[in-house]
Amino acid sequence: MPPDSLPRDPDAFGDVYRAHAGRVYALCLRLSGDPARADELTQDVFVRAWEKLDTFRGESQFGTWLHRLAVNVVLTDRRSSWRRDRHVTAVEDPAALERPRDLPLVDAMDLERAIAALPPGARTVFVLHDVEGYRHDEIAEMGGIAVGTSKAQLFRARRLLREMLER
Amino acid sequence: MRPVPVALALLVAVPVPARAQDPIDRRLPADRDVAVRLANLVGSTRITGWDRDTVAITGSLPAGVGTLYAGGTRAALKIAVEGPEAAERYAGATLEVRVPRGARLLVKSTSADIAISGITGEIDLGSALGRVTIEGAPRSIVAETVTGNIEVAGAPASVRLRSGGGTIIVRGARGDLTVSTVSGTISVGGGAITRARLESTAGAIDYKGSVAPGGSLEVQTHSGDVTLRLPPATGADVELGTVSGAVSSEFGPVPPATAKGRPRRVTLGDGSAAITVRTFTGAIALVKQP
Amino acid sequence: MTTTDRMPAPDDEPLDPRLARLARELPRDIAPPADLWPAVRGRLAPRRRQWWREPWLQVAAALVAVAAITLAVTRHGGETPAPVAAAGATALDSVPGVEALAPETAAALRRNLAIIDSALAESRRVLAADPGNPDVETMLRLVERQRLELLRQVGRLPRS
Repeated sequence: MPPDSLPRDPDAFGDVYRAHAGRVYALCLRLSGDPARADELTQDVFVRAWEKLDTFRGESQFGTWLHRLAVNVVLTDRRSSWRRDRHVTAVEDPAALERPRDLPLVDAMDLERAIAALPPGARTVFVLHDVEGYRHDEIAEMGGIAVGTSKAQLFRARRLLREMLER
Repeated sequence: MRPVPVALALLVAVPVPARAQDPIDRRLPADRDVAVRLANLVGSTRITGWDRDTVAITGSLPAGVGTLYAGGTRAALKIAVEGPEAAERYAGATLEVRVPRGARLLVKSTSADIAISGITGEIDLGSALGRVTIEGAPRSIVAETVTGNIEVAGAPASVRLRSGGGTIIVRGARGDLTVSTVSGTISVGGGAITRARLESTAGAIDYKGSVAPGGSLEVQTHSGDVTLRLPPATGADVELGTVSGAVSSEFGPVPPATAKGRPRRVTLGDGSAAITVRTFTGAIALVKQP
Repeated sequence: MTTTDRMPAPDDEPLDPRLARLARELPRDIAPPADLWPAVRGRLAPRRRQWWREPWLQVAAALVAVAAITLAVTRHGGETPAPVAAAGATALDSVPGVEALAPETAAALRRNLAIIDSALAESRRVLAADPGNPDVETMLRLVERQRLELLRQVGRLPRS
């Protein structure tokens, strides 16, 4: 979508919403681990995208630009506990392991649940790296954290997921 | 209903005939978690939970005016008073309703006051001008009014309250709390909340309590003043942002307003909770509880 | 979408290949359970200069003009200037079902709407002078949210 064809009319932005809502919602849902928050965050993303539409210069695909903006909105949302959790180093989070472990977890549904059960910092990096495919340097830049922190959180996420899913 | 002052009554030259009242006494069998829809728009409604599998309705209607409907199944009941709500002298019905504690209530009112206690199920109510008072610990409360004041005392796990001009008071708060007004003041106190969002356009917000470690308290107003009264040993990462409001703290110095977009941050104790306050012109004050 | 750097660093905890495949194959497109567009649409401020062409903005435009002349509601939420209150009345009248409300209720709603619209005008004015200020943007979203919720509340009120 070239920059000069971007809608200037709020009603026409509805087409943009319809084309990208699913992608944005999936991201918000997984990053927040909370369906109630995901609705609100999805709305916030599109409102912010509308406000920042002038800053899209066509240097990437519009979908890519929107996706990064969505990550930014979710990560800078004060209500998420990601901000406090990022200071924690690879320490066991007991709450994450309190899920029922007698279920053999083998399918996508179980992985989704396990991801939602991760502590916020680990979940964020896991979703961005292993699900969405961002690199550590990109995650570090988007989240305002160090590359080392991103790697430490991924390490922690993978270990916790393995523990949750192998029982 | 407004009682006529005694002095005024004596001054009336022609004695006003006492209004006859039709008593109400209905009983209906009900499941423990019966869904009860109740609409009494004018007058007053009091709902109390009890341990019987019955819904009992007592009270009175102004004589010859208005009818009470009560019926349904054990799983879902409807209670409705229909009267000439628009009529000038319609004083409305006084309802006293007993329901199983686990009931799920949906209550509507225009000007009738609503009082609910002893419910462990769910409460969803909407009023325009009537006052709302809820006591106890239901699983969830959703209540909205236009100008009626709302008062909630107890420890429900999930509370969503909204009013335009009414005052909202929450005591013994814990769990998940969302309170919003346009101009009514918000006063929350008592417990250690895990997640709270308090917002108002013009109303003042006063929070007195603590925030559980890992919890979050988010307060936003346009012009209302915000006062957070926190225990001295509070551990929280506090972010303050205001366009032109004054900021003060008894917890130590607050960094001055810096470049745009950088919130002013104060770390209290171990910084384990997250507190965010944003206003447009409202003043922000962090006060130490004695 | 940028390519993934999948070469593990020496200190990486490798992900079980089964989990790695599951993670890569998780659906990246999930339809929201409800259509969020109406809520989003309600929060979009106009981007082009000729905003007076947008029908619903004619009301907002009137409010901005009035509020620019009459200063915003005092901080203690007292008197609402008459012109602003009158403008609030216009916006509310366009919500279906308003005419069936008790007069006292409708009057209270109008007062609340006037307070919100006054705050909205103030926020927009400051944002226009200082675009991109996140504090002001947050406030604007707060008041827009309140406005939307008030108009929605009308639909939930009992009719007389």
